[in-house]
Amino acid sequence: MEKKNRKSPEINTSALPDIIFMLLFFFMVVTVLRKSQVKMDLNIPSSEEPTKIKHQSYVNTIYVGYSLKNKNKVVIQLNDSFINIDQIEAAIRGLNSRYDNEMQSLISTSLKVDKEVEMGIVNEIKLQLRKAESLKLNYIANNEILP
Amino acid sequence: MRKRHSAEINTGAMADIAFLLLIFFLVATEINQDKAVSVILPKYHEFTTPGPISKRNLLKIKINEDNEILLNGEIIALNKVKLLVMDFVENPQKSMLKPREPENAVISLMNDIRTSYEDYVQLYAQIKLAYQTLRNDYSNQQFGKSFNALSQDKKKIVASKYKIKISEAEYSIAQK
Repeated sequence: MEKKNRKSPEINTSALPDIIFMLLFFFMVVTVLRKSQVKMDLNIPSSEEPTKIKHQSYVNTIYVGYSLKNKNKVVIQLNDSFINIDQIEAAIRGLNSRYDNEMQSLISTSLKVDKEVEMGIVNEIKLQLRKAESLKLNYIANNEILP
Repeated sequence: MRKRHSAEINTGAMADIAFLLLIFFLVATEINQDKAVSVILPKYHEFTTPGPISKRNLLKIKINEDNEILLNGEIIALNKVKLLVMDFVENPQKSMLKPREPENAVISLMNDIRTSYEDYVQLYAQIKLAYQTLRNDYSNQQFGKSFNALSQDKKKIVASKYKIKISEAEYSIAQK
C-alpha cells in the first residue's frame, strides 16, 4: 500500500506547451494591431445602435478633429499622416490600388470625426470619396440609447 | 548509460516562453472593435442630376444650421423621426400623399454646412433604424423570424421590398 502511494506518478506536463501554443496562435490570428496614432483632439459622437464594421483589414480611416496646438483649427488625418482635403481622392485611390480586383468590394472608409465638426467639411470628404470610387463609408460612433 | 542521459532535452521552460508570448498578444489584442453607422455613397457623375421624382414618393428631411430637424418643413424632435419615416414608407392608411409601395419611397436628407456632425449622424441612424424595424416586422410576419435570422435569399426579398433610398442630392419634383 505504502509502496503504491510513493510510486503514484508525477503529472505529465509535456502537453502544456502545446496547449499554450494553441492559445497563442489563436490570439495571434485574431489580433488586429492598432495601425495609426491619432495626433489630434477627437471625441467621436454617440448614436443609437451602430453596427460592427465588416472586413476590418480593408478599412482606410480618415480622422477629422481639432489641432493639438490650435484648438480652433480643424485637421484631417488619413491613416498615419496629415492630409489636405483636396488630396484625399488621390490618396484613397493610391491606397485602394494595393488590393486585387476581387478585394475591391470589401474596402470601406471609416470616418472618425469629432462631434463638434461642421458638416461642410464632412460633405467635402464625401465628395472626394465618391470621386475616388470608394463608396462604402462608416460613420464611427459610440452606442448610446437616446432619451 | 551516458547515452541515455544526454538524449533528453529539458522542455520545462518551453511553457514559460509560450506564456510570455501569449500574455503579449493578450495585451495587444483589441477586443472592443469600432462600431459605425454604415452608408453607401452614390456614384459620382459630374454633370448629371437625378431624374424627377413623383411628389408622393419623396420625404424631405432637412437638418439646419441650428441642428433643428425639419420634416417637410415642420420642426420635429429627433425621437419622432423613426416613427414618421416608418409611417411614410409603409403608408398604412393608403394616403395619396405617401408612396403606393414601400420600395418607391425616397428619403431626401439635406444638411447645412454648419450642421454639427453628431446631430447629422444621429439623424441618419434614426432613418436607418426605421428601415431596420420595418424589415424586422415584415420578416416576422412573412417568415416568423427576425431579419437577421433569415437565409440570404429571403433577406434579399425583404431588403428589396424595403430598399433604403436616402438621397442627399437636390431632387426635382415631376410635373403632372
